[in-house]
Amino acid sequence: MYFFDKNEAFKNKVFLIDEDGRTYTYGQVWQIGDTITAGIPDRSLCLLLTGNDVSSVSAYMALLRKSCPVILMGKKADQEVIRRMKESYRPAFVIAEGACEDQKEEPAEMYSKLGLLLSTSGSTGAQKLVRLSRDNLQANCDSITEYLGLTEKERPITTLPMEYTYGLSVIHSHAAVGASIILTDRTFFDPKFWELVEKYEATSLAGVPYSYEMLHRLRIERMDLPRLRTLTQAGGHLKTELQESIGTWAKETGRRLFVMYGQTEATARMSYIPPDRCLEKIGSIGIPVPGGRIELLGTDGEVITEPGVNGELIYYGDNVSLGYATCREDLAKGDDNGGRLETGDIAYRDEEGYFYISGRKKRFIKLYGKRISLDQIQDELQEAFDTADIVCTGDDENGVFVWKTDQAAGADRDALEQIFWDRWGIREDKMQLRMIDQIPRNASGKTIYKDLTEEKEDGVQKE
Amino acid sequence: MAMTNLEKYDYAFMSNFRASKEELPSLKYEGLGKWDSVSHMDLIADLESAFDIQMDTKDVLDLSNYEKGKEVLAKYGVSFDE
Repeated sequence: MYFFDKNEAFKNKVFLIDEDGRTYTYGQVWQIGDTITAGIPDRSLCLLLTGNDVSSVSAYMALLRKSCPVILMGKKADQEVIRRMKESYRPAFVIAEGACEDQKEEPAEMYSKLGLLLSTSGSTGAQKLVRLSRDNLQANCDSITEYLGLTEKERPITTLPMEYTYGLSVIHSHAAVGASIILTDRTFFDPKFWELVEKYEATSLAGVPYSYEMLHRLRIERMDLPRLRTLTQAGGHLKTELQESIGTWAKETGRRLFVMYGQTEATARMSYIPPDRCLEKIGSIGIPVPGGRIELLGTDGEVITEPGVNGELIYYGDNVSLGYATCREDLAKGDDNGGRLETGDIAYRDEEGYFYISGRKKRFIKLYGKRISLDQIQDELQEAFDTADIVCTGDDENGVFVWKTDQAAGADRDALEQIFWDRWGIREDKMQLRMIDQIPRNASGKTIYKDLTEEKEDGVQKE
Repeated sequence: MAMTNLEKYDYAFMSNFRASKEELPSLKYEGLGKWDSVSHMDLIADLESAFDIQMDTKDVLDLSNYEKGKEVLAKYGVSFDE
């Protein structure tokens, strides 16, 4: 049985609790979902605009039951981005706020196992979607419920958007065990959020690194949260000090902190640190989730087995996505990955088999829990500053470094800050401008990234 | 000349929200747009370092608009009377 199927044993259990304290049983949620999607034929391509609310969750589960491949986008997403998504994939139905709109499109040709289409990037331009099967969702859901030890007694409160793979995994894994979920779009800085935590007795919170910075800022250690037992973290590397302080607080107060690693390409989760090892294994991404396997591949293509040696992290499991789609025609594609995912992350293992990420093969960084392509930023900046030569580097901690020739002093910084904010929602403290006389390139014109280090900059505009 | 407390306070808002001085009174925490949770955290960090204070959870949550922030900071002995 899939987590979205009608499990009669759950029928009268509370599934959803909304902000006003209204409760909805699993049976009621099925009914609401069936009503919203009544006019949609099975296997139709749908675009669902979501919020953390009853109608979104109900419609989503109903669409999965009808084998309708569904694209998820946040209902507050930019109108232009939604328009472009519709244009690229031409869904048969668009569902928003519990209302279903027939787009009068020809049915798309789609792979029979296609279940869900998720965007990987927070950036506005990309129409690239990860293709996931219903079996992918179930496989990852099974792994997660097992290592988190979830039972029907759990009661998470939503802290992440539903269209984001991590937020969605919280819904899947708790629906699978017949637990209750408190639904809200509010953030940690909204007093009402904490009222909901207290009043409806939330037992767990999920967060990206930035969420933990917020919790730290709110001095979570001093808050009275008697029911809160579990914290999970994914979506990028948690700073050492934060893992230490939150981990220590969790340990001293009998709570569990799960530091985890994943990608949308693997449905959500690939590895985790068991909470009793959290403080010993700081900086690690942990061990593979149940049902998964990790292999490190050297540049010569051979599998690395000894500790301390870097290789590309390859993940194997039934949660590995089918592949990508960039247009409607791609929806007909089958399983490109065959259960094997090249993550693009460079990692090594320790003596106990815990994995550590040491770098990235592809040039991506994570900011605010979103994946940002340095190459994409570089290309767009190059277009905006056509008389300069621009290269972007970066890391999760410091953000994007812009290496630029042809300086126009202060004007550059202001213009760049505006572009970073408008286009990618990146704030000025995560954008470092470095003026340079010449971008280091080799004979064939390839950028020599390792030469772009702090020592090489002219220091004109150092922070 | 040293900045007055009000100048420091205004500066924290103007730099975090890229807002002009005239816009400040209309700013409030919304969870999205200009004043979202990310900029809220940056604002709190800036205010804490500008006035060398550490705010309690309740106050971090209470500081939800420009005027309210002054009341919150007053509790930490920050005076805006010149």
